[in-house]
Amino acid sequence: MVPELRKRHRIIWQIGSVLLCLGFVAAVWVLPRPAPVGHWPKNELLPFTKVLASKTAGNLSFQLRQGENNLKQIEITQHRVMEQAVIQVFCNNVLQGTLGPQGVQRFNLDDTLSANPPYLIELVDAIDHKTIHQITLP
Amino acid sequence: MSVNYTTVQWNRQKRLYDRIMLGIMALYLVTFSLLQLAFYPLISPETLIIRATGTLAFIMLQFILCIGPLARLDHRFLPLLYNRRHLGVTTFLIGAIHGVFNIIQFHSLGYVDPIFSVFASNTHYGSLQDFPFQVLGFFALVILFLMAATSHDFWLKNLSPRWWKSLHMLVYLAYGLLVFHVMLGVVQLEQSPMWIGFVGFGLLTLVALHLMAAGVEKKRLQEQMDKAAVGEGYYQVCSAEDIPENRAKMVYLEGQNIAVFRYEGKVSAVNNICRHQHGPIGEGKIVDGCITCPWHGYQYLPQNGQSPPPFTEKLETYDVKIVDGMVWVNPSPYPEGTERPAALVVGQK
Repeated sequence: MVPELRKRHRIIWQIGSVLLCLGFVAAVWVLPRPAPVGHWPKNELLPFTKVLASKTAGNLSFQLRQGENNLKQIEITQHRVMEQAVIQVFCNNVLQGTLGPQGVQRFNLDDTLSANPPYLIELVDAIDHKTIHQITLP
Repeated sequence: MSVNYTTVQWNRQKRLYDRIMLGIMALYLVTFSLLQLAFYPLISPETLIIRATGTLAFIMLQFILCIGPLARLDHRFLPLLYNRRHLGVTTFLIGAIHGVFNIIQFHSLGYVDPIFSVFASNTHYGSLQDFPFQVLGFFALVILFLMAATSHDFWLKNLSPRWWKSLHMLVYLAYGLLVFHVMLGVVQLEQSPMWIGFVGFGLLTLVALHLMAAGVEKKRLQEQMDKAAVGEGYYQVCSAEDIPENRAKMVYLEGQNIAVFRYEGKVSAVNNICRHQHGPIGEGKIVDGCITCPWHGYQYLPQNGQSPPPFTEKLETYDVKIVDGMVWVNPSPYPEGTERPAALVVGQK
């Protein structure tokens, strides 16, 4: 190999080794880390005091609760992690939010919804657009 | 070495090398497939092919890039260097199987062109974690294709060794792209410590080998420059006894890269750069009276730098003398193929 070519090899590897190693470390640094169970997002809504109705469907429990001014609250408890990646919660065809990974989640209904029982609760797989669960609370 | 272009200049060594290479590849593919089936019983044939060929091509490229520095650090690895071309072309073919199956499996069932889909299906180009890693593999495969397609003396001759070598040095870029193809692809998806260790170990080994080889070479050159005594246009390069029979001492004097060969009680000096691919002929040896380049076996006569007929390649020659057992070389080159008298090792010339 001619000295000029050998020098090019040397420079390429001196620069390349730094860039490759930095890139390697950066790629490891950004690896997605699984969230510890204890750090899953907690539902900030406090439960309304009065339980009006309870139902169970599969690994899910549903409660209809009532608070001040007759406002209603839907409480959903997941006993096991759902297979679907994104699950939307509808009450009387109005989107209330999405289900988290596991645990208890509550959804406060607004004045209009609260005043119009019964409450049709639907859980929809947001990717496949299929209804997973459908129950009615009185 | 040939006066005409032939597809592959087969010889016994190349056949043996290729058989060993294919045997090891087959062994790897079978072992890998069995392990995959044991750990992932529901794996589809397409996924198995993608994984097996992807890992094999990456390992082969890693091995190919180790051959150069290994051969510079230890001459026992030179046979691997001599046959590296077949290994490189085979690596491209294995990588191409991986790429084609990926495009069919992941990009051919949509409404857009599959190649366009490689670039457009994931557009998180600004994110390291979600970077479209398949694009990196695509460009690496393009480079490997260019190298495989031009891995022939026809292209070497027509592109010129300088441009051909520059094109083939893109293999380092291809390797870098593939490192990130793996690190931003399967490693991000599976977060497996095994993959990280596998890529990291290979990367560190390769970097260490190349830097070591470069350091050793630079040090050797510097030592020669420091030791060289000058007199009447001649440089003292070493003792005649320092050069093993049928081997050479390589020196770099006044910009001239020179190989000083000892053979049959004589010493001659020729330019150290092979006319084929600019290989270091001083790392070769004299076979059947001819200097033989370690890279691809091109041959030259030591006393005049000419390839034996019917070949036409020629090297520059230099004056050599031996005084009190020490070899002196005049770095002023004679035109290519000029006959110069050899210096006699026994007695003073």
